[in-house]
Amino acid sequence: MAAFLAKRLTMLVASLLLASFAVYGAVYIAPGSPIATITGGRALPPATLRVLEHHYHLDEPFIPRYLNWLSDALHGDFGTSLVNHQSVANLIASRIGTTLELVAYTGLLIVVFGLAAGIVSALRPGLIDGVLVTITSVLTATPSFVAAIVLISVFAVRLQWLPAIGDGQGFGGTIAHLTMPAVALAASSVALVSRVARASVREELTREHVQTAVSRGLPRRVVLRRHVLRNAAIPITTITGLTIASLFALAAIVEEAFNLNGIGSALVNAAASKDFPVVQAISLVLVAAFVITNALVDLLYALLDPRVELGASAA
Amino acid sequence: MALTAPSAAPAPAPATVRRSRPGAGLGVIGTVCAVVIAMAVIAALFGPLLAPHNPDTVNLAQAYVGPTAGHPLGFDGQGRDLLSRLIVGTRTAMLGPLVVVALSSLVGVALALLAAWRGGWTDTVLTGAMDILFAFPGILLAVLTAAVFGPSLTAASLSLAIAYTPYVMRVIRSEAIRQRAQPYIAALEVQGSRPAPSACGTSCATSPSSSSPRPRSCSAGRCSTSPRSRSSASGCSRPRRTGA
Repeated sequence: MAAFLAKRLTMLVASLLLASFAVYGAVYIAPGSPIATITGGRALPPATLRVLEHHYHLDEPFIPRYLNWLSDALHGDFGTSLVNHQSVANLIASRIGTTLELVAYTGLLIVVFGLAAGIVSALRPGLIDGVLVTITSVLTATPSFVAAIVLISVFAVRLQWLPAIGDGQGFGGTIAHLTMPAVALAASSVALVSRVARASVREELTREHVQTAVSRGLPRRVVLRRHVLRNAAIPITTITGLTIASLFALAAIVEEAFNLNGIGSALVNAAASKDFPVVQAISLVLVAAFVITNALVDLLYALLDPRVELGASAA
Repeated sequence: MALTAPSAAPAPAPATVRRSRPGAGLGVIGTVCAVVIAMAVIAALFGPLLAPHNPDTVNLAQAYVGPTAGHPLGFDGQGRDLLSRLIVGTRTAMLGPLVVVALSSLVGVALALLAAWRGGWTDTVLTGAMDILFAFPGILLAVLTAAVFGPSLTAASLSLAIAYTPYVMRVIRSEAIRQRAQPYIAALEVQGSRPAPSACGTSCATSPSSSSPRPRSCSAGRCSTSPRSRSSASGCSRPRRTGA
């Protein structure tokens, strides 16, 4: 277990390092100088430009600049925003809560409704299965920005049940404000998870060990829990984990649609205004969240299925 | 994997489209879907000719006006005809995803076959690079590209194509490695078939693509006796690596 953890951790750090290099390098090769963003296109005297270049380390070669940025980032200092001169670390700290709450809420919806719909529709062929499959087919084809518009128009404009914009205060306020964004974000993922759950539970039901357990007269509940669901859990965990990991980035879309102050909408705004320190920092945070979630899912495999060799790369 | 296993389907087998009769076996839902797709393709191809009005004519007096005769979808915030904008915009909406799917499939399949056939260092480096790329969600890559190169359809399509390549490559590579170990590949190698044709002509056809899983057995039989494989079997007989 220790060797597996060490190896997984090394891989995690290596991919984060490479990702940080890619994120920093991408901005380095960008056409146009960051100075233009700072000055807003005004012509400044050369001496002022040199001071600015020195301040943002633009007069240094790429590698020292990257190492400088990386070591600052590891100390929690992501520099200052080019647009409003706020500390990037503070900006992220003030906004990441909303994104984490949104992802957690959405993840919960995906796990609960995805699994429930998938398992019920696998175990109840016929009418219930047909209805659920129809619903999930529609949901699969619903991108989150379309779902966001439909939800706003129905629940915020027509029925006026839920607020359409903003973060909300307190637990109740947060839940009220995040329900529509979370549902919009979860819709297509719920459908995906339920389809995978349905297929893998159906497959397990036809397997020989399940037939054997049934023919030996074990209660249906025991067969389902110990022989069907346990074995079906592996593919379900894979798809659920991947889906939840990718929510961190997809959250940007619904944060924009519902005017939430998360890091996703901050990334979109920063990208539009070429605020490179903010873009770099948030990209790195999102990649880190994605990679760490995937690593946690890998650990979960080992706990779910003792046959999974710890240390063997999950292909 | 689990989704394509034949034993997993007690329900009737998925309808396969046979080449001799296109459209056969689509059923009612399939036909409706095909019609919708065909309409979208026609709108994409001939959009500007089909649009009843100029999609860019601004008439602020009609801003947000609902459906009227001649304007079945009404007007947008600047008083432009929505139906015309919808029809003309279909081309952009279809072109982007088309580029993404075509490019990521092309690059993903090529890299996957290269990795599966060469093995060793090539495989390690390519798989490692794809794992790193995997850590970048597509939307993040697209926003990053927009930040760096400015927002445009080309930049968005290219970055999404790059983001989806690892998904294609992962699926195709594992299938290509499986197929590589199959006896019919060994048979082709014994006959002196070059790696490239046997990889492209045979394994591609037998590998289920990520978007359209189909029964493997029939296509394997068809392709291993395809004229391309037979003609290449009579080609040069350089020594080649054996085994997987």
